[in-house]
Amino acid sequence: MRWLWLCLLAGCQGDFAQPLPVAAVDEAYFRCRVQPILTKSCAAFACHGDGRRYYRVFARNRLRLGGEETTRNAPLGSDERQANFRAASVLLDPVAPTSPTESWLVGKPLEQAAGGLYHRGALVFNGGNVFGTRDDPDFATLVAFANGAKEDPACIEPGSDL
Amino acid sequence: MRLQLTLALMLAARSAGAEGQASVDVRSGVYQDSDRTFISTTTVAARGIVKDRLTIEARYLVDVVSSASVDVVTAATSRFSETRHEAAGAVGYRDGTNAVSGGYIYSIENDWESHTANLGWSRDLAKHNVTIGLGGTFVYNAVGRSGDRNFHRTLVVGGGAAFVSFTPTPRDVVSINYSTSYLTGYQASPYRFVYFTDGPSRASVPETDPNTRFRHALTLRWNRHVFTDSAIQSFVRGYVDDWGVTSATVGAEYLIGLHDFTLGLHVRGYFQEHAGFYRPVYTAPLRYMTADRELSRFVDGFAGVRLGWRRQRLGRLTELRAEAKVDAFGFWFFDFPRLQSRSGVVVELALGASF
Repeated sequence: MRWLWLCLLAGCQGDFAQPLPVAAVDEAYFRCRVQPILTKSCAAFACHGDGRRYYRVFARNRLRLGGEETTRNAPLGSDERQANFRAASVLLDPVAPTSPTESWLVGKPLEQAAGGLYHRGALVFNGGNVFGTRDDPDFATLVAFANGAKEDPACIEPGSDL
Repeated sequence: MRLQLTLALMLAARSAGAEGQASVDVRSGVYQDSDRTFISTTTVAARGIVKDRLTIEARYLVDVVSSASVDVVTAATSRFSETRHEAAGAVGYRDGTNAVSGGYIYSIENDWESHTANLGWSRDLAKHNVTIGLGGTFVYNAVGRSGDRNFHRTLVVGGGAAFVSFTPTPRDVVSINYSTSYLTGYQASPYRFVYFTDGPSRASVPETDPNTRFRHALTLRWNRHVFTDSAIQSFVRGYVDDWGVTSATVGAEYLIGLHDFTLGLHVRGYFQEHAGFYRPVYTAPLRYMTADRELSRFVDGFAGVRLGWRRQRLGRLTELRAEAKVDAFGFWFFDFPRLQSRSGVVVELALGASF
């Protein structure tokens, strides 16, 4: 009983200010290998190119972080690239990155029959999920990213106008 | 349960001895709130007594929920509907001094399945003026995600309770109850994501709660018989857990016996301090992040009336009874930006018979 009162008066909670553990993934690999996949398969206005969505993707001619209509097709800015990288990184499980059912970024776009997670996008357009099987080369790229694959930091991002 | 029985004895003494050997009760209720959530609940329960000592109970419950609340809409779904089925069975034995009981509950809905086992023991002391009791519960939950065949989590709960109730005067029944539970497993919602600001942009993560939770509650109940045929039933409850949630609840009901009728007027108030990891807005990604308004700081208040009726010896029936109950409520959230308040009503109708 005394312990209970001490809890009530002083608080018996743990340390809740710990930062989110984030998977150790490579920014260059994301920028040059993963971003083009997200642009192609995820960034439509009706999907994750909708700014109201929890997970959103900035892409050329799609959702932009500020700017005007005349600049919608401009190359991604550093804030947008960083935001895309950050949004993807926090959806990876830092403990079991290769298990699709444990990682939202990898599991969501994979067909459930192949071990993926429920993805409303697979139903909305009645066209199935982004990746039908684990053999899809783009899916393999996502898995490699989740597993910490690295790219030359000087790589040139497709669509960067460089 | 024992206090409810005691109060029933205080209010309608003549009905106590007329309880039949078997009874059936049906209760149906609807809930509607301003956050566009509607719930319909129907319960059917049957009870039989064998040789005045052994009690066997069975119950079936069905919940139908339809919601377009802020939680649902922000999860990119316009509205959802789901049905929950629950079946329960219990066996009790009492010899006039000791009572033991055991029960099992099975509950299933499209994204949740649970098994609950309960055990209880109580003993009357001091010429039945004091009752002490212990109870334990174990719950195994399988948590899923609607439409998702590969999302599987578990939540296991173990709990215990101890109580003492006594009659300091012939008009009073006082009870003190301590309960605790320990939860381990998945306690977040698989449908909720939490935003955090990230430089000029923002990102989101799936809601993540701590894997364990240790809860404690202490409840004091006081029932007092007043005037000739009425009673006041009151309680105060304090709660604390290791997530930093603390709360206090107070409630009272004034019950008046009027021939075959019982009129009850009740109020209840609740205050809760938010969980330690709850933030209205997260400015950085933290290990634990939640968008659950039930973990925010809020108060709620309920007020209502219920009217019961019971008549003994109606043809082959030992007793026929009915009850109507109406509650109005309001919730006020102090640090939940998406919803500042919600209000609503709960209406229940019940009908029962003993044979």
